[in-house]
Amino acid sequence: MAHVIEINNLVKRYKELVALDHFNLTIEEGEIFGLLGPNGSGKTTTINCILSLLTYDKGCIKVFGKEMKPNSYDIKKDIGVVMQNVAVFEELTVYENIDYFCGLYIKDKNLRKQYVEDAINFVELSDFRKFKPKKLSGGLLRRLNIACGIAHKPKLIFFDEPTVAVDPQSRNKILEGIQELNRQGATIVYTSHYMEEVEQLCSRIVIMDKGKSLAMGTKEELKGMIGCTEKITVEVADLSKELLSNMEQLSDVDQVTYENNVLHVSFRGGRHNLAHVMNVLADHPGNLGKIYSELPTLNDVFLEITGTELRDHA
Amino acid sequence: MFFHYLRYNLLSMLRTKEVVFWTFLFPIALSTFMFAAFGNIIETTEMANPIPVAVIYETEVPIFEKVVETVSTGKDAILEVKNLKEKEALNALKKGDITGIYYVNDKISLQIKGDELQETVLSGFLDEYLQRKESLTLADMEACKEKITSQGNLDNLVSYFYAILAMSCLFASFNGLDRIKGLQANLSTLGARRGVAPTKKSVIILSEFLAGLLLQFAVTSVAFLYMWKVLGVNFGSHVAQIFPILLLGSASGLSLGMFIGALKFPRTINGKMGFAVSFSMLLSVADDLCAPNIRITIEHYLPIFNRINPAALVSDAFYALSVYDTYTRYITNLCYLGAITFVLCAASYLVIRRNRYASL
Amino acid sequence: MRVYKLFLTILKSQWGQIVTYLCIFLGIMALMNVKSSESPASADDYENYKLLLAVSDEDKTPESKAFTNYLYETNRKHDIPSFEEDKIRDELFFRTVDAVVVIPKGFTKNLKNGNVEDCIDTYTLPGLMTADLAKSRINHYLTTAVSYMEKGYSLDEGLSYAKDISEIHGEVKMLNAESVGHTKHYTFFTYLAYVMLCISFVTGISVLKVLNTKELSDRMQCSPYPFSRKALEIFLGIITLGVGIYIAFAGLSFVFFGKEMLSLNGALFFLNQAGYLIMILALTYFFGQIIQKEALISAISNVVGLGFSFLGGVFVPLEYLGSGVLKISHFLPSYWYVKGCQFADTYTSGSITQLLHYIGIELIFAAVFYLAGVTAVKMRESK
Repeated sequence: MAHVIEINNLVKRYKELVALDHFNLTIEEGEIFGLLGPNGSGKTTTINCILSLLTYDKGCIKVFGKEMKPNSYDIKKDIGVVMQNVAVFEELTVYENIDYFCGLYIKDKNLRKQYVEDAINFVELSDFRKFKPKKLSGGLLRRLNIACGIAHKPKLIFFDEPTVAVDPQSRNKILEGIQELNRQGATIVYTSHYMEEVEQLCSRIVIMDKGKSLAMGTKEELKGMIGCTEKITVEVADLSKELLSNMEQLSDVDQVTYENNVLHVSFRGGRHNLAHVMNVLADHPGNLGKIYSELPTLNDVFLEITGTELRDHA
Repeated sequence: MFFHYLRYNLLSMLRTKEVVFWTFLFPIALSTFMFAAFGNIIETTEMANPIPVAVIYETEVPIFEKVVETVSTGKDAILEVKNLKEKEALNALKKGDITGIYYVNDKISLQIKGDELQETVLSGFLDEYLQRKESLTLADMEACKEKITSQGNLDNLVSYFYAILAMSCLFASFNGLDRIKGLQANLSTLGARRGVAPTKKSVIILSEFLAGLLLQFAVTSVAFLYMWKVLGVNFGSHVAQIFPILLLGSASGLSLGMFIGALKFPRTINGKMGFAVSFSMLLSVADDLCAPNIRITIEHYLPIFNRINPAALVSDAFYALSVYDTYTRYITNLCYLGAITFVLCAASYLVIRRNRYASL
Repeated sequence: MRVYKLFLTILKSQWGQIVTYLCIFLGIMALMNVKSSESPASADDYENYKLLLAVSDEDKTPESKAFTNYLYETNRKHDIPSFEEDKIRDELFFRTVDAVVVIPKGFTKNLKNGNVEDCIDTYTLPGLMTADLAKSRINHYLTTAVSYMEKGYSLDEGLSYAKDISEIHGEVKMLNAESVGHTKHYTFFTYLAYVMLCISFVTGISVLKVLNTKELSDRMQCSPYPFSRKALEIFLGIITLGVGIYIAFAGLSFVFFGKEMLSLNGALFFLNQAGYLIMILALTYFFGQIIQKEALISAISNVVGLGFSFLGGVFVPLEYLGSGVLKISHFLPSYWYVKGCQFADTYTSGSITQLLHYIGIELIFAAVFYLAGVTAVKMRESK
């Protein structure tokens, strides 16, 4: 079985700016693949190149094992795209919009009718089928945008930041929907700069920055790339130097910092180090404030690789 | 399948009510203004109708009396003599109710107010009377053999109405621009979405073009019917042949807009809109929209321009239809319009058919 | 001055359209100039309306040349590119020429034999005064010549006798020389009514439309930038646009007419232009508040611009408008502007109260449109 998407050495320049720098990527069937990176890292550019909307300077893109060109209609019919910006006709109703776009893919009238109904039910817009886009709230509009992209039941679906400016309730609906589509057999390519979403959703992830792929793998693999396995944070006043040095003596400790009455201890091994920390702190006379233990996130991965936080870029 | 696209394209156009309203209103309002302004201008300033005059006899000159009587009766009368006293006649002349007063004493003189055509006819009549008295020739022979026996509609003011219809056709370019905007990924997200669909660009373009054409053809046809039936503008007797002009005119305007939309420059949609507006206005003015005789002047110095200006072609087709007995010139104009439409459409299609964009 | 600067920035992007209308105006002016130089300047003395004739002499004898010369001396000569029938029809239809005369081969021979009947070919539009006039002049001339020849003179002598006869004119008195003709200055300034309005509309309305976009205006309303200040700066922007248009066209009038504008009449024209421009700006402001779609701007500016021009006496002189239309015209500012132009054109001395009266009406229109614009803003804000 060929890869669903295969990108080799893709280079895309916008005049001086290098948007994609020898970018490589393979996506397998049945995956929910996440493209994670700050704004401007090249996620949307990658997708637009795959879709043959953009010219690129170098490289090769294959979809379903065949080279992708603007007139590769046999490939395009199996692709669904949910654009970052809402792309619907202002003048047409919810139903008409979905029907129009579905009609670009599905010629059979009866089949299309059923698909449109399925899509409307899928995004739960059946109460709004006669509404024009202007009357829809932000979240509903996003759902319409999704319905227009997926109504023809494609095998490969691109979601380009579908949750931007969406309330938490709608966002959860969208994420659940994407998982449902994946269960029904579609391969999903998902871009976001919300790492929580990507972590929750994606089976494999590529972390991008400045047009380069920094790391790729499952989230466990990615987290495994960095040394840290657990971070423990304790609010506590007036720690003595002696106590801090005791803390550093604990096994697997990577780093101990103490600033503004907050103690951070990070570990290189094991995930149950809280008890050890508490043991050391038992000798401290003062009261303890908040105590919590965290597993590393993709943000830590990003931080470790690039030296900056993911959110700072935005 | 094609009708599926066509239907939705039409729906989405018709639902922008404000725009549809103005596109319809525009030629109708304009032709109404023009009609009101011109009214019967040709009747009063150009047609050889009897000219109202007064004749004041201070002494009796039977020959003059007889001549006046001759030229003021019959089908080809030149004068319409009003029976007025000197004071009344002067007042009537001042008010414009009559054009001139002949004073008949030992020598005959004429009093008038302006120096336009009608006054010239009056003074010409007086001159001729005096000249005949001198040369003693009584009647003239018909030396002129008139070669033009039928000229259809003489009223050249009708060309203003042609120009409005032509302009209305050109304004289809705004619609064409809008159509193409929805197809280009770098101009709208809609364009991007349709760009990734497996439907051939040619099918989508054609459906958009046809939808636009249907609307624009309806607009120009309604405008034409309004001018013809409501205003009573004389379009000649070949009314059925006018619709092909409107159809091809709208098509050429639409394709002009599509072409501007497909061009690399101007880059933004607002820039393209400004360009389309300016360009259509220029072409319309070159087709005598605001001042007469521009088109014929261009015909003298740069005839090729009139062959590629869709507005001029539309007007000329109308003109040929109303003036000529044969269809050669009418059909030639239609062919030019068709060729322009085809070239512009083909060029737009070639530009955008497999377009990948440098940036979105 | 944030809003003001923004106004100017958006204004700059409309440059192309300004140039287009300027070109249209210059083109029309150039054409009008050509046309008016052809017709004789109206003097106090009466002068016959001279027909525009094109003559093709295919006989090429001394007699036919004498005839041609006679025609050109008593009428205006007009060259047409071709004597093919279709081309002639076009020229006639567009009134570039009143009559076309073709002197066929054998013309002289026919005359010498006394055959006047159908001895030349004419192309005229049947039923028009010009056609009758041209033909009656020719018939009369040739009949006179041949009658004289039949008394025993040569054709040559007959032709020159006919010419002498044709120079007999009756006495014509003009009633207080009220000329319908207008000067070039008048044409220039009346056409300004159309061009200034179009330029002001396509630029001003586009800018105001952007400033009134819901998001942008909401954002501005949220900012601590005072509402009154925003309004003031938009006002300033419109004034700037107006001053620009005013200077451009006043300057252009100097390019066209030079020092002639430095006269009392010139000053009156400029005064009238200023009054009308203020009305245009107020109207621009009004439409800027109510138009939301780009595609509508050009439709509306043409309906208003051309409507004002046709009904107000710009494209069609007021003298030709029917009395019913004139009643409507009184409700259009362009009518009063054209009246003002007429006054400025014919003013010699005395009181100028009449002109101030016209300008006053233009300003009342301006006030009405401005208030309508303000009302539109208020209605939108309250929504």
